[in-house]
Amino acid sequence: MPKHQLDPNKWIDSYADYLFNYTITRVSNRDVADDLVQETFFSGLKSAKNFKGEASERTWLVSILKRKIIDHYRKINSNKGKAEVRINYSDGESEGDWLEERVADPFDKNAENKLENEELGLAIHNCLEKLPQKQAEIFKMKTIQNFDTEAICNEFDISASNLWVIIHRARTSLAGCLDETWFK
Amino acid sequence: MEAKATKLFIDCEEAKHICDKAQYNETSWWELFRLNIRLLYCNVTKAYSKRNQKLSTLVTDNKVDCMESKSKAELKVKFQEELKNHQ
Repeated sequence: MPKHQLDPNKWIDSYADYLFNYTITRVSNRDVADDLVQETFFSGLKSAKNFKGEASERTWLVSILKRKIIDHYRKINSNKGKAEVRINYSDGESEGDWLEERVADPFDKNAENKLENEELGLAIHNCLEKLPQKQAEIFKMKTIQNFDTEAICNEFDISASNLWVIIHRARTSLAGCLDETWFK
Repeated sequence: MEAKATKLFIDCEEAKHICDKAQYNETSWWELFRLNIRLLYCNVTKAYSKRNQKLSTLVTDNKVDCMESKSKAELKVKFQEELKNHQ
């Protein structure tokens, strides 16, 4: 009996945002990220029979997505030709400086910060997945996508005070979850 | 309700509600004023406000992203069609 089973009917609601966030940090283009997520779900359907149930559904979909992202970069690199790095020194005096230029700058924390931001982003999505679906959707629309209160109320057919109750519950649960999983 | 909106001292629940709205800049100056007064003496509100602010900073500073509602709706339609072919 496999530990996990696939339920494609729930894929979009449960994993689309997580996979999108994972992709956008790697490709930095919303259209490309949309396409890659779509291809991932379609490939998942095609290869569903290969799912052994040892990993969770999401882990399995992420592994497919990783291949899609690698293929995407391979494709654009083959279109551009091989990347070439050239350094031209304008004067002879600075020619010997290349070694110092290549020493890692200990104060440059950009890569580490980026990695931590990305992990935190995924941790937030993990916590969002634990919320009731409607609560998570409303929180995302309000906080991440910056929709107006009125637009969300119309979309979900709820009153403004109802929306704020939902937002309050979502924020409280999310803060609790992040305390447990990220700040612990 | 009218009396609730005009009184200077608010209870903890209302303070939390205003604090939530403040995260989205949807409070009036009067609401903010009353919240700030409560923050002067209520530790529960203070703790809630601090935690709430921290959550907002985490979500906005880390550029947490998600698929646009329109794209997701389109994807859902396409995926449902594909799903029918596989069933």
